[in-house]
Amino acid sequence: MAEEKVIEKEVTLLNRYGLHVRPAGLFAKTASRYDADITVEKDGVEVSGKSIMALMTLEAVSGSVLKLKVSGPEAEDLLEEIEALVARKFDIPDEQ
Amino acid sequence: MADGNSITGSSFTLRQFVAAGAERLKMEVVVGGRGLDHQVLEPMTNRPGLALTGFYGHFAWPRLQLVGLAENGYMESLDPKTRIARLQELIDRRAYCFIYACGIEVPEAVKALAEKAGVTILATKLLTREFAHQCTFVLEELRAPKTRIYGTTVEVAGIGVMMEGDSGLGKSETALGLIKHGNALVADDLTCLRKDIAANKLFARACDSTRNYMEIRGIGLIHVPSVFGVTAVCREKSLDLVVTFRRLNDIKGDLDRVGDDRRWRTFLGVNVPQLVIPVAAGRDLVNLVETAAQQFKLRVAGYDAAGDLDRRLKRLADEMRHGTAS
Repeated sequence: MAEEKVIEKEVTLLNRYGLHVRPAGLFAKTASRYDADITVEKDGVEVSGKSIMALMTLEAVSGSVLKLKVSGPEAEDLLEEIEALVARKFDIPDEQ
Repeated sequence: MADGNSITGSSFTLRQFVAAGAERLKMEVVVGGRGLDHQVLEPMTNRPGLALTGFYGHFAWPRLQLVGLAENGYMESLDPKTRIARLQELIDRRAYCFIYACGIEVPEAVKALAEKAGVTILATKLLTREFAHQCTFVLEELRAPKTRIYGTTVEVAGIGVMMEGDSGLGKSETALGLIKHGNALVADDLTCLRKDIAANKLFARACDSTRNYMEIRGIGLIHVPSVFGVTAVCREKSLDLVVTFRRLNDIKGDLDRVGDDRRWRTFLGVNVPQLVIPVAAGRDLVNLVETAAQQFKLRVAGYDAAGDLDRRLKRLADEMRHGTAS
């Protein structure tokens, strides 16, 4: 197997309620569309970015910094879309 | 895959101790503030009687200082100046938390001293011995090594079974089927494990934020007790068996066909029996996991199906040999 390149990036949550049900769902859905692995870390706890339940257990709120680790053939595309999603506050109208 | 297996105990602050034990220990914060961020260095209580008399040898400052009727009575027998000086001595020797038991009123001078020194004062209505006893449980639970594992845990026929395997193999769907058969969900997708050090056993539970919820692909999130009733969930269960789902193609020849191959998964230094179950179209996973749990129960009770069949076949072979010989 080819060596795995892992891209690390930190993002800050901007929407009002952080990673609650809808953002976590959107995050996991986006992550599952790409041929890439993604983990999300907050306060030393690392979970899979493809699991809604796991993302919600991070209890990430507005202003929380998430450390993303992405690898795989489509890692860069995935990271780009996740960053855009976070920046757009997950397109939730009440939390802009 | 990393298990995050830290064998050492977890560290925690006084704030966490108060949050975990407020109810059980009938405890309130008399003097808190920044002092509450202090780590609990040794998770047990100490009666500081001897130190209060002025003997500081072997003073157990890293523990929580428990002031009962004896200590308080002694303090009251001293003149106010000496009383405060003795307490100051303990603080100078790094004592960071005092707990007044038996509903003792904390003197104003003590509060003022604690506030100045950034020391925490807690008070409880419980009797000293009762508090010391209950406190041990709370501290042990806080200290217990913990980890999170990707796995769905269900109590099946009284056995705590954690199902693990790649996503998309049907862990949550299997759990759903098990719940419909009268078993109880412990945790979906992510299981928090706690080690009971004394018993060398693991206990599984859900993370507080997502307890009682499941994600089922195509349906979305469901609240299990609302849909299936309160008996469909279980707050905490010992972890007795790990069932690992694997694609049949990934296993190839390495599959136990007899049931005498003992495999283990190790979390936090504790071994848990493991079964590897191949996943393929048409395999009824609910039925398989339920049977695995029952078989496990039987085995724990001392019955070993493979060994028993082996003995029967050998006996038959013996009989046939003697039959032909005579």
